[in-house]
Amino acid sequence: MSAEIIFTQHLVNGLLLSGIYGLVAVGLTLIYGVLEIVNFAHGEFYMLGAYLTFIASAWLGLPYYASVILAVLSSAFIALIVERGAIRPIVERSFESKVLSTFAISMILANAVLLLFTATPRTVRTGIAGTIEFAGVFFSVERVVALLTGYLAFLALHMFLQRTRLGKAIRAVAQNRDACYVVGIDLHKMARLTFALGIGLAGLAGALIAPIFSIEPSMGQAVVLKAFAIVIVGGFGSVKGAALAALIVGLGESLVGGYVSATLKDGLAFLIIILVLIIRPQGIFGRATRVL
Amino acid sequence: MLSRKHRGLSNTIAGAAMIILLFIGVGIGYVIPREAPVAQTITVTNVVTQTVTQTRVETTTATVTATQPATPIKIGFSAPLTGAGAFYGQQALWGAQMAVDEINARGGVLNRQLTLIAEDHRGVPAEAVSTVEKLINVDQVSVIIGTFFSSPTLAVMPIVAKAGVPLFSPVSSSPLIYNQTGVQGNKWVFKTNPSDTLMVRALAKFMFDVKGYKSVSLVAEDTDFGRGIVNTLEAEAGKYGVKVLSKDFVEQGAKDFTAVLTKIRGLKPDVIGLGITGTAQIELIVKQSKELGVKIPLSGRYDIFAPELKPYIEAGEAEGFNTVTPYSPLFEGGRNPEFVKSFKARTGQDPHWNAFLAYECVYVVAKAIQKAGSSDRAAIRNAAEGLEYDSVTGLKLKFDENNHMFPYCYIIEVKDKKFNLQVIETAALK
Repeated sequence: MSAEIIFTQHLVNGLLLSGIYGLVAVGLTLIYGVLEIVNFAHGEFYMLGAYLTFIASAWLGLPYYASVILAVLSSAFIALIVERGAIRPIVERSFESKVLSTFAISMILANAVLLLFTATPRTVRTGIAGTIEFAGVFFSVERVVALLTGYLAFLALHMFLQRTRLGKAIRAVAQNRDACYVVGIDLHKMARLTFALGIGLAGLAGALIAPIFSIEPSMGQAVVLKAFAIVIVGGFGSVKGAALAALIVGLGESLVGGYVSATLKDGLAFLIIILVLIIRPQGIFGRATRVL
Repeated sequence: MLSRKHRGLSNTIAGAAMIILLFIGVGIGYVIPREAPVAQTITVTNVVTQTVTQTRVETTTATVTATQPATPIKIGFSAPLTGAGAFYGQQALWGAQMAVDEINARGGVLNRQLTLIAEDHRGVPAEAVSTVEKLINVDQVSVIIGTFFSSPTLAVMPIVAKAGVPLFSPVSSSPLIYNQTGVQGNKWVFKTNPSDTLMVRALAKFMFDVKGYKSVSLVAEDTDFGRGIVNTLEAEAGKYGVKVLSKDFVEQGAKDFTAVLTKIRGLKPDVIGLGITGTAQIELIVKQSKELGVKIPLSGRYDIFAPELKPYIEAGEAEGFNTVTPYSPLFEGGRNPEFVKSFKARTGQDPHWNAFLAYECVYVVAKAIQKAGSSDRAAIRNAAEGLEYDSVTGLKLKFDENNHMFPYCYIIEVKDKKFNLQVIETAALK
């Protein structure tokens, strides 16, 4: 086995991982950009997406692709309810209220799932498990599907934000709220839409990861911390930045795990944060503004 | 657009709602980990009557008549009933409860029934500490069986010693426990299973002598258990002149092994030596190996009997996998076939080593209580020292000066989609 093949395999592993990180981080940064809320419950919505997929495929017996669609739609629907009950009332309030509110959502969701499913890990079976070999490099089918779906979702999001009236309105809110009042953009509606969109992306990430790893109620906590790191590296509120940073972290983790130490792997994202905060505090694509 | 006044009001309402939500969240967080354990018969006894009856039983031992129902003897049980070790905890609880039911059906111990009080620590050392403190202080148990994982057991050992409650550990296998108990200092902890040092020694002979592996890559979880396995396997490999090509530690409950497996694929060792707990984890390792085209047999300590591995074994994708276990339902010696039969009739599943070891541990505890002639914590501890016990496997066991027993261990190898079994006497490996 040549060293080049092993290196390529590490790159492929990292690429497949970065798709998932990207989906979670993009949703997080989108919500921050429009609602100016740091969503501490984001990881729990990712977990919820995975459990909804489990319910749809293992309990209702739906095929995997249908389970994914159902999981994304249901997480977006749950997001609408949560937005009405716990986000809208605090959207104009202080930073602390927003942190407390999303933190409360996170605890309620994690513990509700713990109560219903216990902490025992579950597995989602897709029927598409398998692997494709190309020039000595192996591609897991489930991971390739996850990556392609992830990138398609990202592309669709990009088109939506750039090309449609609604997308432009969302960007307008992120850029200048006062101007939106002047031209008559409904801020509540945009906030609601963005929140559902961001959570839908987190739910999609959860649905895609469910067959690859086992799922458990605490799975969101590890991912949300990494997503925060990615969002900070990419620049808070920047969708492009989050996608690029996800790629850096995914590839970096794979290479560190393969060539340095598996124990250090999970620390890499936070090491990058420290470097970025020293060299370019606003992140790669971030605007130099004061967040707190 | 709301007026200023209205805005202020709705903000207050929203704020209040958030505080309530937060309280609910914190509340649920507190309640769930404690409520999660599998339902157990917890006998609620009035503390006053209990003490009275207990004294009566102790002073009149043999003359207790059937007219006065004696209070049960409480045995605490701390295990990972949920979390990555949920399968183990469930099996252990089944095994322990089966032993308790058998003993109670025969009239109990000292004419008193045994009651098992089970607590869930989810595999977390800090939670194991709180379950044990609850069992000692709230439930006032006479003795504790637990905690089934090494790091939690090591965490509770100083606590039981300080409180003066005997702890019988049926499954935890870190050599660090052996080095602290009996004459080594902690006189309150007893262990009824062989430590990893002995089991891995037996396995190393099989790996490097019988199978003739010349190189090995080690992957273990970053816990007392995992590090213990790697240290022992590395030392043994040195003795046999086998090359250790890599050594990697992963988080307990890790899910992505692709980086480590890709690295190992490049190193091409003859065998991978694991130190991994968790049935989901071993499945993920096998699944990801398959996806990465890694075709290297797995050895070391992991759960070859995990239900998640069954499809891979049946598909012939686990040929040559081997490991060492402290028990096997396939063993045909002693009274084991009868044990397997009644366990299966009761639960519908084969007994896992967690079930068997917990089952035997309850019998060891019952024998210690019988010998002590009372449910007093210190009396049980004194009686347990040097206690002899006839194992279901037919082996005569005895606590050594380190409060350890040395039952058989078993080398298991997958051959033609079936388990091959080799029985090893651990006492000879000391």
